[in-house]
Amino acid sequence: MFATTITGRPRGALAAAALAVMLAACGGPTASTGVTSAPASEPAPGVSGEPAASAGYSGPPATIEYAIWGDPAEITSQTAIAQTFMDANPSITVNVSVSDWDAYWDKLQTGIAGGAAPDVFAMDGPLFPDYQSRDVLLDLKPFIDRDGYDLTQLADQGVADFTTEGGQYGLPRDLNVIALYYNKAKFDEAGVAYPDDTWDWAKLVDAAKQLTKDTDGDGTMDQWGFYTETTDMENYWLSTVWQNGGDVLAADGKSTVLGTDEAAGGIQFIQDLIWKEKVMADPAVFAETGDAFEQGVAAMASNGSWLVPTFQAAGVDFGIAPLPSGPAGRFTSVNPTGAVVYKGSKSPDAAWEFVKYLASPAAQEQLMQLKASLPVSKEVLAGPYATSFEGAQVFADSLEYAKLKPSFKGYNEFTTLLQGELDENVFSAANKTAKQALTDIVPQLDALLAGQ
Amino acid sequence: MARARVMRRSRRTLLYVLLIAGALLMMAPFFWMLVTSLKTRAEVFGAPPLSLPTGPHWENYVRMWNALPGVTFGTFFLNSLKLALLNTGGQLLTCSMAAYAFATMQFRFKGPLFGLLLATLIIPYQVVLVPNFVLWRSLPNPLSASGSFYGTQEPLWLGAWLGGAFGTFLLRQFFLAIPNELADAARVDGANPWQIFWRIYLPLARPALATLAIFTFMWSWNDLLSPLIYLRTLDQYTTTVGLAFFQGQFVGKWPEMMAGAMVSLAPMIILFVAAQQYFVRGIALSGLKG
Amino acid sequence: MALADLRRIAPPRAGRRGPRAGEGRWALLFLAPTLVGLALLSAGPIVAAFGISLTSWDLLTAPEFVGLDNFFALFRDPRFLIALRNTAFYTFISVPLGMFLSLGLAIALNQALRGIALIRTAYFLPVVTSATAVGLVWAWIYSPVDGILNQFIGVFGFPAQKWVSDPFWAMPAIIVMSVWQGLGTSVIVFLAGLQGIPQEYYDAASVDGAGRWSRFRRVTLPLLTPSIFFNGILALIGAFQVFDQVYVLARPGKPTQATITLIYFIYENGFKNFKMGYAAAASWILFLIVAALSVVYFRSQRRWVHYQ
Repeated sequence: MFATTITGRPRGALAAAALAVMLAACGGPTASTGVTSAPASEPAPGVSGEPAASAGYSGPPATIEYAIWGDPAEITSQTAIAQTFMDANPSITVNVSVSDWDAYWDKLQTGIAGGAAPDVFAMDGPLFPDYQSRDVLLDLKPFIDRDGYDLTQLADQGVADFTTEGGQYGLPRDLNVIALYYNKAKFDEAGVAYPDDTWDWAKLVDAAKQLTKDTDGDGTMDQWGFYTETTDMENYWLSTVWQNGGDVLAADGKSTVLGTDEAAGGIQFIQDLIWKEKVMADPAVFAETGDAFEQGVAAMASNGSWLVPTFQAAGVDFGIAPLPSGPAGRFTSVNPTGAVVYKGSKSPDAAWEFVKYLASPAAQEQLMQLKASLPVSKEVLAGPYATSFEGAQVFADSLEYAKLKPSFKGYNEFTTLLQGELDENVFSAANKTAKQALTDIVPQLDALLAGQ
Repeated sequence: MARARVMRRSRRTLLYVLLIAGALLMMAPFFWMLVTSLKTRAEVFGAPPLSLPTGPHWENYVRMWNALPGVTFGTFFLNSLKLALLNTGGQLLTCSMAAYAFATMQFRFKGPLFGLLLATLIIPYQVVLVPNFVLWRSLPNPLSASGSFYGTQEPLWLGAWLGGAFGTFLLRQFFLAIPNELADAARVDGANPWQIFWRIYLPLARPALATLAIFTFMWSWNDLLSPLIYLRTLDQYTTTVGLAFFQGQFVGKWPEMMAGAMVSLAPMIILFVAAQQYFVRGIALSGLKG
Repeated sequence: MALADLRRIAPPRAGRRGPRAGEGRWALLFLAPTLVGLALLSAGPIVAAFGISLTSWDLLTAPEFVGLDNFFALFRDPRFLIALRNTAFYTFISVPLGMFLSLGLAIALNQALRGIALIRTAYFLPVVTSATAVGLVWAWIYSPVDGILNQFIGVFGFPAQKWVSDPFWAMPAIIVMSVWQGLGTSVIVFLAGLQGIPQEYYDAASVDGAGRWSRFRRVTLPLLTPSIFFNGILALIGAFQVFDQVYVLARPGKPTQATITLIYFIYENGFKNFKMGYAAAASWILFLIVAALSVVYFRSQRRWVHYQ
């Protein structure tokens, strides 16, 4: 699930490009390929054995298409990154093809079906297996080996999400994690101490209760202690399931383990927040109008790192804390967006050069400016990112206890089925306990997984 | 008599009141668009939806105009306009021609052909999306350097010049209502079918043509998926695509989006107002000659 | 001269006649663009869509022939049956409701009142207003907490409903919004049709002593039947293909699944679940249903539609 909005005035393309050039010039190591010597190993596909240790591409002039989704700020940023790449590699032309999230997949699939696929395109972590298993992605391992590219320079979970037993089918481009946002003004007003890394579920409920108020005495709550989105596992319930010792998929990935008591307990916690402790609004209330935290109606929110620019634009004075830990420990989820190469690309070498560049510190610092996601380059994460805005350090640290958002074939169908049950009977109305609902739906989920 | 006049007046007043109340209701979303386009992000959901913005924030319009790199909203606007005009022109001509044939002539397979035409309305586009795409990819394009239609704007309007079910159906209904004797009289005078079509039927069908123009323009203007699927570069995109970028995956940038939507509205309102004259009762049409 | 005047001079006579000499060639000329379009742009893709329905296809790899399996699977799929039920419900309520309201509105808007052009434009606005804007305003109206609708019914003592988020009320809520939005387009068609009714007929009826209601029933309604027929068939086809309104106001999954319609089911399977063959099969069932209904509707023309 990718980020969306940004803050303030989007820079014109020219200014952004200028900035990118500046960063590239005075930032750290600029060249996209990492470390080490290039052994004279087997000739790489299409290129005459030249080790691409520094200046990169040495093949024939190529034009590649790079497809992304995004909002105007992300598009501007990615276009600027592409421009910088082109300046450094004059024989490669990158055409950036953009669309919004919804239409992106329609366009991609139609294109592949019609034989008109982009060379490089953005890939959402959970959907990766559906594409990789259908053999439309190019294995980048030969290129990695040929160039001696060091995968450890990138965030581990990010790389792992695009690794299969056979090879490496993409590089991560940016990451998103989940944390606890809190509204400082509301906390100060109620005299409650800010959340920190000692918090657990009980502390969360306790603080939320103090922050849920009916300020005008009309019988309905005007301020909620807590808010999160329940229509997707990423925003909170995935983490609470882990925090309670449960999981979504079995280790072999062939069946679901959501029917266990531990998993059910994680989801039950959220149902209780809404219907028992009453510190969170009925999801129907904010379903259409959007984020309660952004509107200043909720004092805390469990949500993604992509919302920082949104909250800043809304003028909320917020802080960021780690998610409270549960009975089984502290966990959060991480969801990478990757750059993958189409298997049928006519310019695989040029495509690989570009994919490498997207993960390079220079491009990553450019991406970081948006504050809408975490960089994948460890160097940038530990360096400029951690101080780029208040709370960034919390995000960066959370990678230590973050697990990958489940990613498997049939992801869309699985989540539609599962959320259908959860939304109707667990979150929007307390018709069933989490355990009951899960017990009811697990057989269908297993059947679905078995059929993939 | 006076009493009847008073009754007529009070009935008229009641009608006015009801119509205007209804009109206000109809205008509510439009008003919301206008007001939102002038608010800041924070104000959009912070206050009641139809409340007035705190200072009109015209910069939303500027931001919307320049939001994407390398192109302005103006480019999208012109692209949309070009496509809408091409589509409308194509449909007006080819649908009226086909409608004329269906309404006034007898020929073999007339029934089945009309049925086939209508059947195309029923097929959901989601399913023909991919086959259509594959088709346009395979058709040779004599006018383009690449020899292909992919990446050009042609798939978005060429089809309009090859007939259409809705337009043909609408105009056929209208043509059927025109008395045959007019054509007979003209035929006696030596006119051929084309002349009868052009000089008699078309002028009489202005309300229907105006209707078709409005609908075709609107559908072309609002088409989101086709431009996205067939076009590759930002400078070819249309307003609907430009607006979609503000939608966001989870949180929308409503002010900029509504600013864009306001700008996009303008041609359709103008078209509708211009077409109104064809709906006014009893207007004298000057189309008939001889 | 107006069409009305023409009818006075040359009153129409019904009756068919055989083809005139050379008419076939002229017909070909007039139909040429349409025929090319049908053959090239419609026939191909439709045949392909049928072929696809006999396969299992994920768009990314080659299709695999499975015969009629998709069709059998559909009828065992609870989600498909729910989509079918929702779509039928939507259609059989929204079509008559929309026709009735838009007819009344068109007649009201056909008066030669001052400022009527302005008022007409106001009624047309929802049609061209951004679908997202329309959806958001209605989301506000339907808002469970402080929405206008809840406030309104609260006055009469009814408890606040969740409307769009409530599985029971979600579809009706969507119907109201779409009927409201669709009024503009049907009204235009009716207005065009109303123009075609000669004033003379009304005058003649008045002279005969007919009151307003009688004039409506005897003159307006019969002569408007071609437009009613046209609006009706389009409304029927359109209702079965409802997608945008659902997508904007109450997308399945945000948060209830109760609003899933046939087209959404097709879209979901074709583009999200990698089951394009299955989606194509569903679209053929949709096609057959609508085609059957249309044939019935067309046959009924003879009974109630009066052409000149």
